Amino acid sequence: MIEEADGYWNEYIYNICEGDIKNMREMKKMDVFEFFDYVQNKMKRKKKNG
Amino acid sequence: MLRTLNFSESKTFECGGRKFALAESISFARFMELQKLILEFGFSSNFQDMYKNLLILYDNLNSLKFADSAVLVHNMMYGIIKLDDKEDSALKIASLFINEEGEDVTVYDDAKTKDKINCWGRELDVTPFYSLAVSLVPAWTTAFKHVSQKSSQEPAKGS
Repeated sequence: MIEEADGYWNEYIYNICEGDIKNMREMKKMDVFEFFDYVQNKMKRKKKNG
Repeated sequence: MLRTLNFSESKTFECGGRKFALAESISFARFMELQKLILEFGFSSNFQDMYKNLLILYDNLNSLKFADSAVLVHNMMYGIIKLDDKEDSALKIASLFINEEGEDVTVYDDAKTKDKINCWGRELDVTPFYSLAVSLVPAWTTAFKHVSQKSSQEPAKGS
């Protein structure tokens, strides 16, 4: 379970960033609340654009 | 004689000629580390906690919840291994939120964590750090549940 946590979030960020390593590194540096706001906004935009 | 800090009175302190400050939030990289430490901290429990977990396990098995039971047993096994390290987990949790002046707060650095803990151990009483971790864990566990639910409702894949 503990070992799985990193894998889960790395895959999550990979999908959000569509594999862009530079973007993935930047996302990990975000404040945690800023991170989830960013993810939510990105998903809203994605839904809006179909 | 060790000094005893009071984090509710002051968010900053000095130790070994170095300046430290308690932050209200953390980077995502540290949040990832916090989740693992919360598991270590939460499950490196005492015998009373172990008894409570066994009761939950008993109910899970009676309800044929085998996956839940397996997770619980795994965590209890990990908790027993980590029983001696509880204090260490607490200090590590505190170190995620306490930054030295000039420290890169956007990343998690294991060597830096050990360095900070060693520094505090030479001059400071461990109790306030332990209390800080105890106060941080429930709040951040709730935050984690909240964001996990959100992320499971809106899967990231293909976004």
